Amino acid sequence: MLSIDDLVVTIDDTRIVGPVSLHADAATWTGIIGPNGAGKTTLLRAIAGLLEHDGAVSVAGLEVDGLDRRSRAKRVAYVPQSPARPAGMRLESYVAAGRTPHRGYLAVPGTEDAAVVRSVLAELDLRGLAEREVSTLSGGEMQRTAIARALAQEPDVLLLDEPTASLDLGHTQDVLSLLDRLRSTRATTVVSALHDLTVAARFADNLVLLDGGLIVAEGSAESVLRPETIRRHYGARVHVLRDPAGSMAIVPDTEEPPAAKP
Amino acid sequence: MSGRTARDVPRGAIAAGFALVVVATLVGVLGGPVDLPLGPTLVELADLVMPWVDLDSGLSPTEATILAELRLPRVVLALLVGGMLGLAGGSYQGVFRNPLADPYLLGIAAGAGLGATLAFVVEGSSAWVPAAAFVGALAAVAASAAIAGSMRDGARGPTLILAGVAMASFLTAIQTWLQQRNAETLRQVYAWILGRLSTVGWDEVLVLLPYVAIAAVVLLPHGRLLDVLGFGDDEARSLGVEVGRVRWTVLIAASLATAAAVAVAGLIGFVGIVIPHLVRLLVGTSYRAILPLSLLGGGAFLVLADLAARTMAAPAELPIGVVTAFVGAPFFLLVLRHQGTEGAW
Repeated sequence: MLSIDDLVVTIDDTRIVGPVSLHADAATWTGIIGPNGAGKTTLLRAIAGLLEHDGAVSVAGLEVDGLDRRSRAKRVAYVPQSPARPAGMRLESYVAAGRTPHRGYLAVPGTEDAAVVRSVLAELDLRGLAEREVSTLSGGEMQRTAIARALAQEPDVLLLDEPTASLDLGHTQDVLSLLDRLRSTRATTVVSALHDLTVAARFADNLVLLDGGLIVAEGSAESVLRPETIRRHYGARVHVLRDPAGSMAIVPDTEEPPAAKP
Repeated sequence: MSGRTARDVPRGAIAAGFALVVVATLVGVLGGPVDLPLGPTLVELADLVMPWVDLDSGLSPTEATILAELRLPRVVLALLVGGMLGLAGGSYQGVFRNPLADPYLLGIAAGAGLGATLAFVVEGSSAWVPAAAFVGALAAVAASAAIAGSMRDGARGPTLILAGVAMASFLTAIQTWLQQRNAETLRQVYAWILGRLSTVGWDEVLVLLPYVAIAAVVLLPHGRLLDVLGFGDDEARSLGVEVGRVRWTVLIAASLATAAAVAVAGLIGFVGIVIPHLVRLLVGTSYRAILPLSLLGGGAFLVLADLAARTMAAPAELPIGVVTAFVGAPFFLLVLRHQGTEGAW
């Protein structure tokens, strides 16, 4: 469970995000959407404790801003948009690094660490890749690997910045279905920035539309993804369609093609 | 998982490192103006290492003295100095995430040299030299890093090295000026600056030991955290690492190692860059392997370099810094070329 109260991020005297207040229950998925530069990444990094901010971030009722990094990292995990791929590092070592907050400063991994890593690798179907160097993984494999490292932290809250940004349709589906399964089996609160609105409508329980660093709409996909809302904040003309199963699809409107095109 | 983690720190490689140290030590004590015979020397060494056993090696008293008072302390000192330089180099590369970081190129050795020279000039004795070298080393690395902005993320490129090279020149200029103004200590300092292990006995080894012990005990367990720093500051922090604390702890310990080495042996370049790179090529990129193997490899390398310094121009001796530069500079250029083709910068 994640609670954010009046979070404000100020960089060089400019307010980038906030005040933002937000609540997300365990085992739910909150999708953060918004146009480029709306402050999605900044908000996620502030929740992860990577940016100075005002306001309070609480996980399961405990305010995490006062905690040291280790204690915070046991509660909140963060998967950046393009995770670093250190040269020569094997996938298993990469995932095992997720156990860092569960150990003392210079302590060596114990049997529990090994067991967690093993189970995460199995759960994410990565055992066959354990010996591969992360620099050689495909985009989809790398994304699963980064999620595996975050899960090895055993966090209550999992933050992901555009987890599917560089993936094709099939891998996008794989990663999002994986996250969907994980948040229910592990009762994890998932908060992710998502750029694809159709995907966001399909997978997230709640959508938070950010524009200019402020929440301008919040709630179910039906209530947030309305054509006039999207036009106002994205400057885009769209149709909102329903497929036979009831899922929403956000489709660009081609009735008024841009004047530049012949 | 123990079977798999062994791949990050291959036991075989550590064993090979120790074997290399033993072989280098033997070669180092056997070679020189007087060649000592292998068998009797081994017996004499066993006798020295195990004082509770009385063995008769058959070495003449002169040969026994050469071994115990000249060769052995010199080889042990080379092991310690080379080990410190290798370990410090590997540590700096981890802290700065920069494969070219090195005690010499970062200006740290020059800072230590200036500190040590100041101690010579002001005190006229060598008691304060290691401490003064440590202060100089820390000041130099702090200045280089501040100029390059490298205590933050994202300054992995050549800026840090360029800042370090400029810093080294500046500090060396001050040091030369000090030297010229104090002509009576000139010869002493000059010989020392070129790097020398030639006038040492067991005293220098004893002076160096506490620094070596502290630096090694602090640095060696940091390999795993240096690997996490390799993810970049943001990811390391999100994994619960106090990035600043790790950086400064490693930086201070590595500077202590550098200062200790410089204080007793002068400026010996390239060990800190050649050895960690060889380890990377042979064993992999985890600092859990790089740190211990750079310690062992650096020691063995310097013993052999010292042997070359003693014998190549016999009866004269080359400064050991000349030998390491002769080997290290071409290697450094190869690394540069490799980095260039990989686009790591």
